[in-house]
Amino acid sequence: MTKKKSRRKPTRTRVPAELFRARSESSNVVWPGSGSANTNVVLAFLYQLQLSQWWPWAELERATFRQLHEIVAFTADTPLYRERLDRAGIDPGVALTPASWQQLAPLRVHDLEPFVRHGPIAVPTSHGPDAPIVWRDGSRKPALRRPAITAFFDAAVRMRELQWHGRDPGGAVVRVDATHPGAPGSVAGRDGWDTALGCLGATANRVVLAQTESPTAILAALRRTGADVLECSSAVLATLVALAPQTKMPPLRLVRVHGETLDDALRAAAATAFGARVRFHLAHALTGAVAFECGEPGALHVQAEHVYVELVDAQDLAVSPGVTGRLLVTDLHNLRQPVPRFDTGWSARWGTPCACGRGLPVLELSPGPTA
Amino acid sequence: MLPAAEFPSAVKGIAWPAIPPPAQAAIFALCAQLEVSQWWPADKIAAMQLAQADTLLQHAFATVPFYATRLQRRYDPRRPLDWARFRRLPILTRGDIQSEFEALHSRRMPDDHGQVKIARTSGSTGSPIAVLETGFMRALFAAMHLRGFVWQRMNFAAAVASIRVLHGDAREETESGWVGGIRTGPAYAMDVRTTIDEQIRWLEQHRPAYLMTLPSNLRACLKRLSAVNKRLEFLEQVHTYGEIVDDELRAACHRVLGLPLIDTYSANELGVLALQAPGSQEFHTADETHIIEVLDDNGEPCEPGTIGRVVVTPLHNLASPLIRYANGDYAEVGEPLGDGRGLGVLRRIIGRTRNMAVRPGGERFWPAYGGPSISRIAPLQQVQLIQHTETTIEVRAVVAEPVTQAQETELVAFLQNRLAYPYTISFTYVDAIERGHGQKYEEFICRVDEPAPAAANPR
Repeated sequence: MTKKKSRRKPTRTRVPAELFRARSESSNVVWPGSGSANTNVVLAFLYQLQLSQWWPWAELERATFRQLHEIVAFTADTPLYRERLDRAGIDPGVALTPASWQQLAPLRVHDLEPFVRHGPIAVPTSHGPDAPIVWRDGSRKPALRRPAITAFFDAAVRMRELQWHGRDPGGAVVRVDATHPGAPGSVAGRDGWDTALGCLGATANRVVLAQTESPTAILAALRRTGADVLECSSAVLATLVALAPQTKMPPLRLVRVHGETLDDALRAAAATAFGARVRFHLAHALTGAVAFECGEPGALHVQAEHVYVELVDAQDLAVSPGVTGRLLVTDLHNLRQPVPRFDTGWSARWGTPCACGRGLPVLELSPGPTA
Repeated sequence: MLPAAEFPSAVKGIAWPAIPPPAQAAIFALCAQLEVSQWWPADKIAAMQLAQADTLLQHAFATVPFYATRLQRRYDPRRPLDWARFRRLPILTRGDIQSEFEALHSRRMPDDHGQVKIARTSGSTGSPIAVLETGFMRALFAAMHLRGFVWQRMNFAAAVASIRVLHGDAREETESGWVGGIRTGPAYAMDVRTTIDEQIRWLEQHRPAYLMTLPSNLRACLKRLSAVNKRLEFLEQVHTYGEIVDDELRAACHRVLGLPLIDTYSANELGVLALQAPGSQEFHTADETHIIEVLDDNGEPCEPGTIGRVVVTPLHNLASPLIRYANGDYAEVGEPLGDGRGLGVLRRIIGRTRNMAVRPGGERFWPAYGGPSISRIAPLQQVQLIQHTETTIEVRAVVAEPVTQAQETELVAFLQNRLAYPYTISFTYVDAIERGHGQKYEEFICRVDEPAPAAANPR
């Protein structure tokens, strides 16, 4: 006689879809979910973000410099980094301050070659395997790497974004992605919105299309899947909006524009064409998410728990509020191949605090000249 | 602004935000879910509760002897649970738990709920009970406590002083923190059986931002502080738990310390049941972990503004399920607080049946006689009223000096007026009024036989 394997009985009472519910690993627990070790780490991290988003900047800055000090202390034994720290007068044995950090020379793309030649630094295995950084601009490709833990941090702040936007976990998503490796017409990822967050409550499908996909094919995918969210770059969005006068556009709840820019005219046109809210997500190849909008359109919140953003003048010193400066970004958790104070080439100024009350700094991207 | 919290990290090189070690991550993972669910609409919370209750009931019916018998012909595990079916389930009493301790244990407890331990009540009602609790339940209790700290904007870097029962011979203890997994200021503890003057000196020595203690002990502290004209200006918040808080105590806390009182409704055998809502004196129920019903004499849910008995179903106790447990407390249902949270509202926790007075004919009521007010009539330091029959009440008192006949006469008139009945009132003067187990203090004890609990809703 074969012994039947016991199987957990599914609950018969309907459980509403919920993004922030751990897929429960404990028998007979539906809600709140009792997750696996990995799920718990993701949610424990998100809990910190739920609290820290409301901190004033002084508190966020204090915590940021605790983490930046970890980078300094960790890289101080590596000659390439030590030399830069010495030049800046930074003593790894002394608590790092904004003033001492500013003495570190910013890095531009052409400054990265020594870092590429040096290669990654050994990090604890708990930082996970590393992966190449995928640059969106094919003309500049310093072969840098980052460990899996940075992708985890990036995924976590994107999870925050889903929460800010009140995303319906039951709704399908079509994403048009420049880094999607497939040929035009290929479809990838039918495994929920985001594999990094797959441990959380079940979500509907996400269809990923290549950036080179035609606008009509993208619209067809939106109609076929009944998606309520479109994620694409502003360039792709512009091609779709251009079709609006002669095409019946599928209704959407949200258009999430990622990349480096979104102008007001395109935002308004897309909102009209799809009958949707349009929200911008600023990302960089080195770090992933840099800043994104909350419920208030135009309020681009820096993801201060993930990246340190500085706006600097020609002397590489912090600009005053209201003054446009060059945007430097530092991934707070890439200890494998850190690029402190990377000059993105973008310019921006600090915006006024957002009406939402969050303490995360607000950026106003600017096409104008820098200080 | 929410409080800044520093979470120690288990991963080298990652200081902030932290990757907590597994035990703490499990608690914070629950906190993350609670942080979101508090804002859900009430109907979504109710749907989630029902889904969890359905799972609990199936488990209880299949693996707990008590429920296999009790629910026979009253529950069909093949039918999905709905609220009407849930509300027809029979009420569990304290007596059931005392007499059926073994039969209430699951015979097939899943091994993925953590270590099973026995939780005992402190027995303030005179009838202590014991139930089993799991590691997962303890994580939920911790998460719910943390919700309370966050709601009250507590500064984790500050020091907490707690005056409570310390085990063994310890009079004082100092711990490195007061929230597991978060770097906090120190946690000082002093045994509640020390004298009030010792407690005040100890508070002045440690200068904590937060004081946590039993309401009766706080009342004594406030009385003494008022007498010696001290304010303890270093205190930022005062928290109570474990006994009933009345308006007079809240007012005294405000008058003497200039601080609002923050109360938590909890029970050893059940965990945290309700937390005082931010900026309010009313409570939000812990709906993610318990179904909390407030029922009238007919077993129907009370409307806002009315008082009924509390019936609790802990949703995750698979070790000894307590389904629709009447814990002996009474509470007043509140209107929605308008703070955006979909959690249930209790305006106040009133007390236990044993703390209700009774009039001839059996009518029970809350003896809001203004306990501390009577010390203005006579030099009474501590008072306890014991109702022995439907018409007689004994006043037990600790006095600073002998009470005169005129004062006794005035006290009798005062109490008869406040209790709205001409009870026969006698006086007993004692050196001290003993507390119950757990050092809980009851101002009014009714020794007239309690009525049998109302039957389940007969529909």
